[in-house]
Order: sequence, then C-alpha cells, then structure tokens
Amino acid sequence: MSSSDLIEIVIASGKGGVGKSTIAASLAIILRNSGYRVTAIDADAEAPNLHLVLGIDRWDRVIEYHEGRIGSIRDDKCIYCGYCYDSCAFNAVEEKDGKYIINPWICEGCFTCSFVCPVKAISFKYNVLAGHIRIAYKTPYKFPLVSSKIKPGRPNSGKLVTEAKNLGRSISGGKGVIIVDAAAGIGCQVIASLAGSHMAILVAEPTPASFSDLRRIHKITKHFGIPSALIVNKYDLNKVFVQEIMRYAEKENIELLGLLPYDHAVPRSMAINKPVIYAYPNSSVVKSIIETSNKLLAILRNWENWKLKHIPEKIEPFIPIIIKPGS
Amino acid sequence: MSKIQLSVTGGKGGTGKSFVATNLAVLLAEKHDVLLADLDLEAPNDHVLLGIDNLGNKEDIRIFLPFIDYKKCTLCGICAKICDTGAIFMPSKNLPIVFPRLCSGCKACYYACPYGAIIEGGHVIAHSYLTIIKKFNVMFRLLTGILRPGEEHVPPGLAIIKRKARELAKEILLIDTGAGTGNSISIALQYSDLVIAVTEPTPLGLHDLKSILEVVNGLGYRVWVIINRYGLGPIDDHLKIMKIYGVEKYFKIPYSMDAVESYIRGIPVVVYNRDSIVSKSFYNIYQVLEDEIL
Amino acid sequence: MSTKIAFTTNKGGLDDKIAERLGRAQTFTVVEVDDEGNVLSVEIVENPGARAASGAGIRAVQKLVDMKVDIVVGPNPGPNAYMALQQANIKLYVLPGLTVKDALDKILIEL
Repeated sequence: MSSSDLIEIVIASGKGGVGKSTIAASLAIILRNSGYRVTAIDADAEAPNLHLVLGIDRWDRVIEYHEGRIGSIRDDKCIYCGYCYDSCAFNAVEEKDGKYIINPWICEGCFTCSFVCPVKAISFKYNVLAGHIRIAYKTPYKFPLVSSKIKPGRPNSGKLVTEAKNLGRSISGGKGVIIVDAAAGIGCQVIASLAGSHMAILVAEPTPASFSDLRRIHKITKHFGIPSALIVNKYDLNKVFVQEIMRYAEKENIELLGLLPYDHAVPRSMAINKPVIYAYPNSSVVKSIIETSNKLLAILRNWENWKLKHIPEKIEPFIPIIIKPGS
Repeated sequence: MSKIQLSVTGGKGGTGKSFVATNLAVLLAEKHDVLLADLDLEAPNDHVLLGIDNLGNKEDIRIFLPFIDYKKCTLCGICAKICDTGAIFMPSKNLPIVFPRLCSGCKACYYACPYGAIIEGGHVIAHSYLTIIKKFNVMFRLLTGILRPGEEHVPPGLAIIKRKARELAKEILLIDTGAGTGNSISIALQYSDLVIAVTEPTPLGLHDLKSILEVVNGLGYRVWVIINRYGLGPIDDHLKIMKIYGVEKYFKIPYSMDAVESYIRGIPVVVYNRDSIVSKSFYNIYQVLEDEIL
Repeated sequence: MSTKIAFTTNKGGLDDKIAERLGRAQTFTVVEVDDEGNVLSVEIVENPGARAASGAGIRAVQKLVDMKVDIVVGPNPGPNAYMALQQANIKLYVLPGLTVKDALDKILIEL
C-alpha cells in the first residue's frame, strides 16, 4: 500500500459483544504507531462503544442529525374507525382507553395511516431529531474518531452511518487507513457500515451461536465482494470448536488473522477507561493482539496481492422470495 | 389465565439477554405455560443456548409487495416519490420498477396511487419457527424469528412475529428482544407488563443501560435491572442511573465460568449446575417474579 | 444533438476523481458534449442517494433518469443500482480512480 492510498477496513460480526470495539481500538492504535495515518469511525450507531474503549469522554464537535417523520392523531377529528390501527405495518398505532394514538417510539413516518384515515385526522412532525455524529479530532492516540449514535427509539438507518463514514473519509484527507467499527447484525445499518470497505475483519467467539452469526455476516461480505479475514476472540474457551471455525474459514478463503485468548485484562482495562494494550501490555491477550496486528501490517504492505487472493469468487446474490398477486 | 408479558432486553450485545431469557424460561416453565419468543431477528440465539438443533413448524413471514397494473398505470411517478425506502424506481417512459429487498411493506404506494394501479402481492422477508421444547424436565414453546439474509428491514417482519407471539401465548409471554436501541426494540417491548434490562458492570454496559432505560421510560413500562457478570467492575454509576430512570429493583448475577460453560454446552446453567452461585441468583429472581408479578 | 454524461464524484468538477461508490457518492458531475466532442456545459449536481436512509443506488439512478443522462461513469455499482441502470437504458462505463477530465477524454475517443 503506497502512502497516497486510502484503505478502509471494517471490523464486523453478526453478533454483538464479541469484542469488535476492543479489537478495532487496538488495531487502530497499533497501525497509528506503525506510521499509518488512521481515522476511526464508530458505525455501531445503536450502541457506540469505541470512544469508551479508547477512554474518550469529550467531543470537539457534535452534529445533530435529523431524519424522518412521526405521525400523530388529532383526537378531536378522530372517529375511532380503527383503519389506521389495521393498516400500520409496524404496529405503531395503539388503542388506549378507547382512543387511538401513534407510538412515537415505533412510528416510521411512512404516511400509510394518513392515506387510510377517512377524516384526515393524522398529521406529521418533520425533520425529527434522529441521532448525532460526534467528532474528536485529536484523541490521545493521535488519530481522529467519528462516532455515530442514533437517538434511542428511532428507526435504524443506513444514512446516519453513511454520513459518519463520509465525514470520516473527508477528515482522513483520502490517505491512510480508515478503521470502521461496524454495527452488529445483518440489517441495513450493517450494510451501510460495510459498503465501500476494502477489507473485512470478522470477529467470532468459539460458540455455536457466534459461529452461526459468523456465517450470516460472511454471506453479506461475500455479497459485496469484500475480501475477509477472521479473528477468533476468547478462543481458549473451546479449543475444539475453534477447529470447526478454522475449517470453515479455510474452506471459504477467509484469512485467519489471529486467535485471542480470554483475558480478565480486557474488562479490567475497560473499567479504568484505558485501551488494554496500554493498561496491561504484558498480558497474554495483548501479546496475541500484537501478533495479529503484525499479520495485518504484512497484509497492508502486500495489499494488492492479498486482495486478489481473497476477493470472494462468486458474488452470492440474495434472491428475494416473491409472491405474485392472485397466488 | 390472564396473560402477562415479560421482556428481557439490554441495548448492548453480549450482556447476557439470551442467557437470562433461556434460564428464566426453564424456571418459569415448571409451574406456568411459557412461550419464549426470540425476537432477535438478525442473530437469534435462544435455540442454541437451549441445545436445540431442529426448530419446529416453519412459517413464512410475508409482507405486502406492490405490483404495477400496466393497464391502469399512467406513469405519473407518485408511487416512486412517496416511497419511504427508495424501493420504487421510475425509468423514463416506462413502468415503475419495484426492488423487493428495499420494500418495507408499508403500502403507502398502494394508497397513494390515484389510479388504483398498484396490486397487492407478497414478499417473504423472514421465517418464524414454533418449537415445542420437552427438555430439562419441563415443557414450553419457543417462537424464533429469523430475518432472511439480504433483507434490510427488520421492523415490518418483527411487527408480524410480535403479533403472532401475543396471540400464541397462553399465560406467560417471555420475550428476548435482542440487542439494540432503535425502533425494532420498541416493537419488541411494546405492551410489556415488566421489562428486565440486562447490563454489565463496565463503562460499555453503563452507556447502553442509559440508552435502553431511555426507551423503556419513554414507553412507560415497569423495569427491573439485572447486573450480569457482577464483580468485573464498579457499579456506583449504574446505581445512580437506575435511580434516575425509576428502576424498581435490581439483581446481581455474579461472574462465573459456570455461565460460560453452560453457554457452550447448550444447557441452561440452572439445569447444568443447580448449585452454582449463578443458578442461585436465577432462583432468587424467579422467586421475586412469582411473589410480585405472577 | 448532444450527449449527457454523468461522472460519479464527491467534491465534483473536472479535476475531481471518480468516486469509490456510486449510490452514495456526494455529487454527479454532468457534462454535456456535442457531436464533435466539444464541451457544452459542466454542472455539479447533488446525489440524492448520498442523503437517503436506504435505497441509495436507486435514488442515484432515479436522479440520472430525471436529468435525462445518456451515460454514467463510475465505479462498479451495487446490485440495485446496476439493475436500475439496465432498466433505464443508461450506458455504464466503469473507470475507477481516473479524474473526470481523463475519463471524459477516454469516452470521447470511444464515441
């Protein structure tokens, strides 16, 4: 990778709580210390944790993000026909003491209820506050952090994540490495986290639940043609199961980047708001993290070759199941 | 029997919601009819924690999908403009095109079309499975929802499965909402008689506890908190937050490798090791539920 | 007779580079050329896809359709945008990494 290049690495997992933020933070710090220009983006807008792992407690800039509409029913016009209740695809209309109300914690503002209402009793509030993008330009680790956070109760959107990523890209000046801490899951917020990334580092734990989530998220990265690497976290909890995961990775051409042991150093370092590589530098997990990052650094030095070797062969299309009218 | 809805939630992934939900389900099922609904459509795990390999009774979760009646369409383009998710595309001088995976099934286009040119079709975005669990000396039912990979919208499928869960439940509806703080969680929590928020004694746990309590307060439901992996760190700030948000009670489940063990084996810890301090904490929570809620 | 060519850009303009992603690019740089290859106009327009919560690729192509664009130059589009471009009969040139100016020269040679 040359100094004029920009590479975006997304850290993803189908399941939450496996260690994405800890790994993203550690890799970002190590890459920065190795001389790369780094920009960190927390795309896990429902539960942004990257700033906590990095021990950042103040923002240089907070941008309000407005999106969407919330409906409300005018009680004086309502004739209690219940058509809105029947037609809402999200169960947002509730019946309470004989009245109908729209639950603002659910409503997506799609307008359907206002179309079916025979007396035009439904109005909408526009440009609702839906979240924030927070920026710390100078963190103690000498790279900027862009963090997205939805306002609890608002619909998930790819747009907030995309805006955060766009901001991160412009702050990066088009150079260096962008580390994206992705949202957990497989829905539209994850897709927005992944889209446009050059490389995915998938994180899994050696449990059946995490393995099934790994397969699900990998289907998505394959769909987007993103070459993937794998880190198994807390691998010593079930070394036998790790073998199964490693076999899957080999079959699917996913590069095994590292196996990290379970270590009390991780939660202990979080409790004191310090990244584990600084809080407990001699711990076994940090030793493994350093080995893992050395592998990543080698990949970056040999980027074009690695990319060609690991780009998914067949881009799996997702075929929706459609039922034609009348059937 | 009057129905009651208990919802286990927590905001952050990995705090132990599914762990709590499955263990409580087993304890409650001894004396009550329990329907455990795993509403984490993107990463359902309850069946894995219960060691269930085969889920029962698969059903398609089907939402509205617009089809264009070419005889009536005047190419006015209103459907494409009103579509909230960008699922309808108007090529010039040609019939609108629908992109099924982007459609959230809201039907706004159907009602907005001035010429009645939109016909109702369907689109399967998820599957639900109803499994009768006869294990661990108890019997209960598990309803699992799974979003089809590639589908982008959780809320419309979740709304249907939630309605199903409320219809199917006979006495206790125990919901595992899954991780998150967006409107999907509100849909899962809707109509709860009691919400149990699971957190952990770390700054991450505290941060997400605040977010989930904001949702629960906004919805106006009663809430208890379980501090899972208790002992890993301080909880003073957690206690302050719980007071601010009107948490009625809180419980501690101590950190223990027992819990991790049972997670990997697919056997709830209250079955695998009844004498574990973790199991004893669950018995305590169950007892308080019996005395005060049920 | 003129041809409208939309280049997928972020900052926009003839000196900008072709963007990395089509659906979520910030702008389109729309260049109108006559039959001799002379540039008649250059316009930088906002891409509604960049602001969309979902369906970005489709909204981007919708904008191109509304602007009656004949050719779009971009990176590899996602599956939704690709399908939409086919339906809209807009010709796609995949020329990632070039500046708009260089890409325009390449295309004019072909036309």
